[in-house]
Amino acid sequence: MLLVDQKADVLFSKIDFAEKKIKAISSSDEILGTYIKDLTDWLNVLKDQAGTAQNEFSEFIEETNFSESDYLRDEAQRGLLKDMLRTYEEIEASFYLGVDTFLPLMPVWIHQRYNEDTKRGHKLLVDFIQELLRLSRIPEVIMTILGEAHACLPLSWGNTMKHVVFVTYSEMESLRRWVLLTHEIGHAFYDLHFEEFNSSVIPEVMRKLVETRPLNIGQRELETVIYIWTRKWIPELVSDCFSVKTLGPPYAVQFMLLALNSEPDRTDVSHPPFNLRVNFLMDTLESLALPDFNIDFYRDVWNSYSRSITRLSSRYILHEEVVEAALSGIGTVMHDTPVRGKWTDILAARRALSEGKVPDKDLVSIVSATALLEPTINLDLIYKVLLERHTPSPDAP
Amino acid sequence: MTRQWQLMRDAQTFLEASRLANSALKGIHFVQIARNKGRSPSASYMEKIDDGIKLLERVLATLKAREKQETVSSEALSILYAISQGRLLVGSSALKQTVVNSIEELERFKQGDAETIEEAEELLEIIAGSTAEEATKASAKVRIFMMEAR
Repeated sequence: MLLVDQKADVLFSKIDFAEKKIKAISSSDEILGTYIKDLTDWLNVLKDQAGTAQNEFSEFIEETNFSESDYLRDEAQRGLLKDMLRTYEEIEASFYLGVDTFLPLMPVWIHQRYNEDTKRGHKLLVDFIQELLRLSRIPEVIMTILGEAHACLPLSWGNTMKHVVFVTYSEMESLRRWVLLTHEIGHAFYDLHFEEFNSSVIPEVMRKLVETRPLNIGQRELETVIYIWTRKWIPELVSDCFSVKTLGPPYAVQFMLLALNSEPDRTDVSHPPFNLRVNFLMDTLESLALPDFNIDFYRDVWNSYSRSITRLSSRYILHEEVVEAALSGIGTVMHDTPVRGKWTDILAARRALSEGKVPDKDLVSIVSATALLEPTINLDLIYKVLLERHTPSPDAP
Repeated sequence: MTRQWQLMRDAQTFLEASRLANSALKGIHFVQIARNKGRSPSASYMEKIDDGIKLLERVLATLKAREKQETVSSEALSILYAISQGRLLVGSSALKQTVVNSIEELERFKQGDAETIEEAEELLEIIAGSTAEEATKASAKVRIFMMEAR
């Protein structure tokens, strides 16, 4: 057997392994089930790709009489061999990104769902995420896993995009912080509506970047800045906008707390500066004109820190015309404002919680209300009540 | 989304761009080998070259769209970023000309009017190589992150 055929065999055995692990799952639930179906389809695609690569290699041998006892001299044949080997690399990388990263998450999900220590808290979080998805009309069920940081794992299985939301384990009982998970769901929203952004905001931002390009910015830097804006910053800003239009003040308040650091204007390749993001959130919030909410108070709080330490940036990547094009474009595409229909419930929940009562309201309203409560109020009791409501203990009356 | 997961998405897009360019290269080389033997190439290899032409057309359209505020292709954007990271970098207009020349060269090659296609082959090789390299870089960082996460 040729060395390259062994490469195909390694791939087939990895695919077999994944299929066996899927079949061995005895307790597939409604949420995991949707992933298993799509993953199975993706494994079939990868199997086809590996099979095609193998067949193409057989044709290559017929055409070139290649053997492992000599090397090729003809340019086209040498080029073709390189292409063949690159095909295997691509399939291996696709397997890693789509399967190796996800496969270990299945037992983690099952463990957290059924383990005595985690199952009730995990169920409450899953309920919260599913309620958020319904509120924001995202037709996807999303796995929620307790991990090391809030995050959204994007899985691209051919034309199917799936997501897994990670929740910081040490914050699984910190109800106030849960609203921050809306940002992670915002990434699923972005993928769902990608074409709308790709046909409006992204071209406008690119045009502005080309138009405002200073003379000292070379082609390489221009491409890098375009890439950062279109592939990194716009999705992040869309997620921010999504979050504030979905949950409103509770998200903005908790995000401010998250964003407070010594460098509010630091430019990061992966995320826009916090100052830009918080100001965008405040402007979006103001445009919602929610009753009984004093936006100026929160602006002043943020500005008291950021204006004290900020430094105006003249960097090309933050050119005001580019920023304006991005923010106004995102605001225009995102019409839905679920918080408008939720705000009364959130305020009512906050009133009840302040009086020491846990209102008979949906999970999203109660959790959002906790984000607006006085930070000195201990939420342990509220958490216990919610646990009991959503995951009654066996000995409960 | 954390930086590591963003890299995962990057890697997926780079991989797709690399797969398309590499497939076109396979088509070119299979056709060349068949013609060198005096045989007609299989239609499936011509289709791979057609896919390569479509990819280059998307790159060209994206280069033009950036000045006109029109929809762009994600793969094309990834390609432009990847090839700017050290392999091929000329100004935007020179790059446009290279892409136009390559598309014309591939069309002539398909018709049998050209035996070699140096400019197109080199461009596709740069695209396949540089996007694969970017995918590897991004995947390697995801790999480190996954190990930490577990």
